[in-house]
Amino acid sequence: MSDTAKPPGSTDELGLVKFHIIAAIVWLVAGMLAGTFMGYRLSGAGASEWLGDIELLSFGRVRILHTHMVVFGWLSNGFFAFSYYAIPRLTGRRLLARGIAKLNAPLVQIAVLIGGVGIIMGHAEGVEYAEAPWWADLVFAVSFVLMVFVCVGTILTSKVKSMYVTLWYLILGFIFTTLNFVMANTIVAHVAPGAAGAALEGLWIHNAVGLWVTPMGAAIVYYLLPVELKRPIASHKLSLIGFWTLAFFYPLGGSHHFFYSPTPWWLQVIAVPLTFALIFVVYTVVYNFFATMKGNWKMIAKSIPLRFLTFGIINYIITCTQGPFHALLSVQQVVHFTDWIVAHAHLALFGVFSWWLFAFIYWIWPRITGHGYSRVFAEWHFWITLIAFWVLYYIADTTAGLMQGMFWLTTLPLMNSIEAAEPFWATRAVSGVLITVATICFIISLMKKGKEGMEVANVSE
Amino acid sequence: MSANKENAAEKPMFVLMFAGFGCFLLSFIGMGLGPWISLAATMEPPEELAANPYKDENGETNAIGRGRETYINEGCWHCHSQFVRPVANEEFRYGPVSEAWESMYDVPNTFGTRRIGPDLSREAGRRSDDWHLAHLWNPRSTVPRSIMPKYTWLFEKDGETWKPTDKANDLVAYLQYLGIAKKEEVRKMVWPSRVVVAGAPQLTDAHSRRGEELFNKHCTGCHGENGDGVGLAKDFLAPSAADLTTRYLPREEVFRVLFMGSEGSAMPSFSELTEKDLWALAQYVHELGKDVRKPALKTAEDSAAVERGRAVFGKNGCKSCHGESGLVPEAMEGLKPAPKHFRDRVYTADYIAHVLDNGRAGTSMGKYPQITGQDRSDLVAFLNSLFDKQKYKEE
Repeated sequence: MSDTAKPPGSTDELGLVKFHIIAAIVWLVAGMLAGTFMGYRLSGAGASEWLGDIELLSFGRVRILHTHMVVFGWLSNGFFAFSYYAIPRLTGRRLLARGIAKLNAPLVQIAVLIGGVGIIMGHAEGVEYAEAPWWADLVFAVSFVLMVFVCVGTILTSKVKSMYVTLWYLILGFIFTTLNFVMANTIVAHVAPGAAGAALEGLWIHNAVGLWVTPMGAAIVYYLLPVELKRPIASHKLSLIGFWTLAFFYPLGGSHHFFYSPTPWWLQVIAVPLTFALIFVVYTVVYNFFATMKGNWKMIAKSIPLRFLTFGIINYIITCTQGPFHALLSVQQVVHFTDWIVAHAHLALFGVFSWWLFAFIYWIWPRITGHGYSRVFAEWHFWITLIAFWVLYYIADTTAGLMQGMFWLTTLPLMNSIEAAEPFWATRAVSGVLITVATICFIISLMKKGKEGMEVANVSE
Repeated sequence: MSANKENAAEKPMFVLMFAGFGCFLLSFIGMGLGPWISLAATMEPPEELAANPYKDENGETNAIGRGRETYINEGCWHCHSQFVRPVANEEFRYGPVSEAWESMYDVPNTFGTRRIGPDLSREAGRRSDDWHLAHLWNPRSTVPRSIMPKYTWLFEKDGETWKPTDKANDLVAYLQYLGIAKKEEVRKMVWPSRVVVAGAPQLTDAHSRRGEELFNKHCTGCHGENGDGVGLAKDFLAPSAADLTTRYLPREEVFRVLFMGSEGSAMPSFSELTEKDLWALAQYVHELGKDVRKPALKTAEDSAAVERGRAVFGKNGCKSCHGESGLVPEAMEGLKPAPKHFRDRVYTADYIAHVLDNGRAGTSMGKYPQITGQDRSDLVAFLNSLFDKQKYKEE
């Protein structure tokens, strides 16, 4: 690891990292407020009336705004911040075209913002996770390509002999997602009809998670874990197997989002084994994590970043074990269309990748601000997030989903399944409030200029 | 592992080309273009539905197409799926399994991935337009326990009442288009044309209480909390919802209406409820108009008035729709909603007067203000005399 090899004159890079992190946190709060608002609105007939006459706060639009902000605002800004920090350190050179990167930082925010405004004003398009209107897509695509130019360009022009696995994942995530994003907003949104469109949309939504969020998250884990533990990753070979199987198998399972739909049956059938194969992919990451942690478990009590990483990997085990089983047709019959899947998606995007980003932000904070964070508020952030999410969100929503699926197997009115889910939706709304409170603790912790993290930062810099 | 070998495969350009571009292209071709080509080769829409339903003959977007745009802009598809799967009872719940050609003009597709509300791919003919408008304005007006958001901004206030804008009407046009190819099959499922009710089982107070619970859950939006027909939906419905306090309905008749619904009106079939629940609801609705029976049947005791009323009935042409002896003739069963038959229900004189004065908007029943005074009360006596007292004995 070359983390200690501080590239010369890295103020530009650190400034960029800080900008993207602050932007990410702003989007996180906005995204959570949108989610909590929806969670409450959905919890019952009376609650659905709340602010119901305000067009700009319509449930359907806020629903889209929520995913738009968390995927493109929160997660993507976080990944950009990580890339700007890790790439110079892993390649031993400064970022290429830093001027472009600086101009691009606000451009990304403008793209997400105008996309959000477009959605709220009623111009959403009909592709999941890509609902922002085309003019906002265009701005985002430009800023994303600039991002790729800076990040991948830096890697390609560096003289690094052997690329660390983090860089592999970054290249994969950036290149694949550029192509995937362009495909979604052109071919899926404007060309491909009906079932053919669904097959391609499956590819897009599946890979927005699998080949953008996942490799970026894996890159963070493979970077932070050895640095924080000060020991190399257990198996380089295993990380390479995990990488190539992810790149190869993951994209091929996209059609499992439309099982039993009018997409061709052969496509659905081959998606079953191709999706199931992913279980081997994810366990390479899991094993590597555990083998690297071996003998150091007590550190999760001390290190906030390590704790978020570890609990994130626990969620990763659950969500990535669920995934392949969801692709079994018999399981699909019951859980598809239900809250079970909503819980699963939140476990991945919040419980895994957001927690890994929390780990990264706590870890990087002293390095970019020169001051630490408050231990007390970080603890509150961790514990409220953990309990509110696991108990009140994940378990509740999973249960609701199972009940919905079971109700639908009967011939009783659909309303019965909605009424059965309402108590669980109520706890979900409460979890939204609590997780938002936890996020405020997170922000306070960072702003308090505490001592936490300083000691570690001084050692590794 | 040899260091050289590893280095060759670990070059950034190699990762970029094979993992980034290569794996994307593989999945795009295999999982995207492949199915696209295989679908295009097998797409066979019926001739009459082969044209793009979202465009008029000049290639301009039509009402259905504009409705679809609103459907997408508002994110309706995030809570309503649009395909019926061949598993999990979906054919029985929603209608025929979806076929690929049915969505061949949907760019982008609106299959959806979540079902908070019902699937909408078999919506054509399932409900009336006025039901849809009332429901869009405020879903609680037709489905009291619904958690769907309101879409009041698709409506405008005209004095005291709400009127749909073009956007709302277009959206309804789109909903009524969804699944048009299977409309007839769905119709047969959601509007059962026949049910034979042998006789009510023994019903208890528990039935009434359960019935009230069900009434509050399913019926109050249109029929009002007191069953007087004044509910949230009142501005939209034509014909208006029945005022259940103005009529005596035997339990068997309530059961029949609940089971069959009333096609052509906003009254859907509740055949999805269990039989036990349907009887409980029938008991409760029956009790709402229980007091109407006695005074109504009393008017029919005056046989001279009944005979005069029969003449009024004949002279004004009532029998052509309602039938001579209170049974609607077969030829008139095509009218939607169907004309009322008078064997299985009696009305208050006030209600009959109200209908004669105003007609029933949204039905074939016109105004008969010319029937006044003695003629009117004679007609009431006649209609009430048609009631089948033998079949529906007083308990």
